[in-house]
Amino acid sequence: MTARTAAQRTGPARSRRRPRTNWRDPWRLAGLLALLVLVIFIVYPQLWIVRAAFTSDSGAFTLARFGAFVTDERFTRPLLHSVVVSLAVGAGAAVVAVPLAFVMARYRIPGRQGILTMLTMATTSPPFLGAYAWLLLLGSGGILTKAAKGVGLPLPFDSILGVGGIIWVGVWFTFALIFLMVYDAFRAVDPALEEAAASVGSTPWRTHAKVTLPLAVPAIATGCYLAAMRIFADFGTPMLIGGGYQMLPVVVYQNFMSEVAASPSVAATASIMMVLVSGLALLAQRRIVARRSFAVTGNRDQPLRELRRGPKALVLIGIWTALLLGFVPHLVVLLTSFLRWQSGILQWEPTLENYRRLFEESLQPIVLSFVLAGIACLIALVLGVVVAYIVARKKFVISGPLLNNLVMVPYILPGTVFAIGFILAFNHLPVILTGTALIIVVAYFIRRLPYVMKSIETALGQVHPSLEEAAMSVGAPPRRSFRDIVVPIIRPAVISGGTVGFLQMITELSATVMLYAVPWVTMTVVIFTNAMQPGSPFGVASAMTTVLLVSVYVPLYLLRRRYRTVSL
Amino acid sequence: MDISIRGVSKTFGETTALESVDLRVPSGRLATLLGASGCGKTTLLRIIAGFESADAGGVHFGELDIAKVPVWKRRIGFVFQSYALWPHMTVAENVAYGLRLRKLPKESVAEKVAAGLAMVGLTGRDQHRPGQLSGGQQQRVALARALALEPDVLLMDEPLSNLDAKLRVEMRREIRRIQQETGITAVYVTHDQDEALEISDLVAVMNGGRIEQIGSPEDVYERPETTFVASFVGSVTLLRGRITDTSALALAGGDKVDFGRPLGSAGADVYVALRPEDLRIVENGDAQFTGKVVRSSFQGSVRESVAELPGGELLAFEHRRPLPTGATVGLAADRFTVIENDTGVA
Repeated sequence: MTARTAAQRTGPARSRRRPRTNWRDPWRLAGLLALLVLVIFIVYPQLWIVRAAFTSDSGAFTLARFGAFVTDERFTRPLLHSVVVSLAVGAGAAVVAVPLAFVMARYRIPGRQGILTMLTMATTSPPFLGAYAWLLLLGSGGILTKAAKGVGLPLPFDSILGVGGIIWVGVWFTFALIFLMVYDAFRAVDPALEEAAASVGSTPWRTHAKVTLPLAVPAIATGCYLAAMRIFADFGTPMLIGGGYQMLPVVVYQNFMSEVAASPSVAATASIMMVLVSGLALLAQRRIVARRSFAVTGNRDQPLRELRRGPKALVLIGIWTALLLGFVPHLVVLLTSFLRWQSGILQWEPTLENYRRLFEESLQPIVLSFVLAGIACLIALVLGVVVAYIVARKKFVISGPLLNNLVMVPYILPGTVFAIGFILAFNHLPVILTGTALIIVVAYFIRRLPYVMKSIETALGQVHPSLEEAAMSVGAPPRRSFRDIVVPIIRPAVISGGTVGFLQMITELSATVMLYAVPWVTMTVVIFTNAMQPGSPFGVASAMTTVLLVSVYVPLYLLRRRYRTVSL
Repeated sequence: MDISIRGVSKTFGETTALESVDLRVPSGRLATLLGASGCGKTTLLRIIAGFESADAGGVHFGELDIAKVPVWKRRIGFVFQSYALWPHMTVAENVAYGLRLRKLPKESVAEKVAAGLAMVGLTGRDQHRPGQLSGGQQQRVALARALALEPDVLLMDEPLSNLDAKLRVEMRREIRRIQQETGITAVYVTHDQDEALEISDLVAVMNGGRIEQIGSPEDVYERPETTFVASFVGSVTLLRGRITDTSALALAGGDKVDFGRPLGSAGADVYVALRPEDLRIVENGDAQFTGKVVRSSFQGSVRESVAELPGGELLAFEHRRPLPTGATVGLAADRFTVIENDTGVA
């Protein structure tokens, strides 16, 4: 603050006076740069989508495209399908996850830590993996389908292709997500609340129904929301095993990428409808959580009770069955990667041939995936720290709230929509990125930024501002105190946020598949293209998926061992 | 190094935190800022430290106007309510951090850390992490850290409010001892009047962003200048009335009390502040007040009872022997303070 003259000092204090903006604060500049990046890569592409959806072919403003969308069965049916399948997956996964989570949270279950680790692993599996593996098993020429035919066992379905398959794969892909959230919520319920219910004469079952379950509703709602949105935004699963069952991301993709009748405007209109749906879903989730957010954290842990032998066996069977079904894809891929394939047909012969071919022919996608995800991850971390610090600490009147809100926008943008925005915005001047590897890097870091930023912001919440003030009081300038105090304390969160971000980037498909251009082909694209072509080298695709799984789970394992828990 | 604060004002949005505050802390003295939460005491301390900047007015350390000096160059030591020990450093590293920033040679850092920990009685704990120490020990580390650089002034923001009652008493004596041994100028923020009275050379009682009274602990207790100060520091009965002739007071409830000494000019509306320990039970003939005991509580060394005067005023007084409720007592005041300045009660 500036020195004051005697006249000012003796004069009456001015009642309201906003502190003058201090442009010498380096966070100002960093914040403005971050804002610029977000505007270019989040706002600008979305404006192009809006523009494409609201202008007619002659360039005039129009609402006709939305009119055409809602009256055309080619679009309304996939939209309906997407919504129904997402709800079904959310509900199905909750039915599997909530009872198991409750039992795990309250009773002594052997192998608890192992089970929790496996569940954490299940939440980071690549989004298209399930579809790919179940297709290998139960597709029309699938391993199990053929085996059943061979022994004359009638299957209730021809193949897994279709709506049932999507829901089946979706449930086993997402139940772990709901499980972990609800498990934490059940663990956090203060035992005193249940004791209070018992003290006024409530039976245990009644207490669980009237006290425990309602306290977990926010977690259940959030878990269901996340599960449903994963399927709603997923492109790989419906593309691979949808059969004729059309879902919105696939329709948008086909409309946009089709070489004969590519229609960016139609795709843009559909994109806006998708964002609308996921925005509404977020709103619904927020409402449920806001109306029921109680302070449930007591200072006592839930005691773990003993279970009688019979129920315990039942619970163990349930948990391990769910885990097995969740990991069937991983096992299938691992197994088939060591078996020989001949023109798309599995020969039961062990071989390392798949790996030999993989490293001879397809080393480049592996390296490229690591490089792209690695760079994107570093950028996301730097930007995440800048945005999180400004949001948590600095009282910037304009740029603070702007950053905080902008950074969360990708959270509701499905990968397909995101990619369309990028292509519409960056295939012409002033910024040309299409066809480069850079566009994939940018897409990765912008899409994961909300998650990385939130995990760092949470960690910063643990660093009381007085810790930095204490450093300043003993002579550390702000930059020094940031380096010596803040950075070491938030380091675990930065590392785990970064690792999880990296895992999700390296397994990204729905945006990559639209944005990539030869020679910038990633692992996920190779696996996807292989899976889409009958008779392609499934063995090599399986080997590559195995490599992808290793590159996901090794970092995750190291992380979990070092920091005990990982929040995703 | 003396601290002088002149005309400091500060607002946060619509709320006024400080209104033209003046305060001078002579070199080597300990001043407390005493007041309820929200009175501006912490804001004033943070302005002295440089964590906040004043909207108007200035702070001088000695002759130096520190308005343009950033926190990290002010040569202050600051002790936080939350201790603010760095969790990723050991006790020794916490204390050494500032010394290392000054690029002192290793041996001299080690020497000063050892001396600092010895001063607060934590020798041997240097390799512990803050999380392994009790609250009282953590606050000792914070104190050692604040003093390690031999700062010009020591600033403490409710340093004991997270400790339990017994430890609080022990620690405040410890703080006073260390402050006197080092001869450092100190400002101490607290809402606890016992703490303020025990450790201070100077107490500034704050209310609504202003300092209501500055004086020695005896001054603010024995000679409160406003009703707020009288009621905030210690327990008190404030009798409101009008001076009828120089030594008599007509109470609001209608009674008339003769205090036997001049109260001020006749016709003035004043408060008379009476401390419970200054009232004594007397025979009816000598009584200045006669009332009925409405409640009585045993507090260990004394009993404190409340008598209701005929006009409805309640008068608190101390005594030793038990008194039944409903009994009539006569009371006389040995000491009292006349207060003209009505600033509300705490």
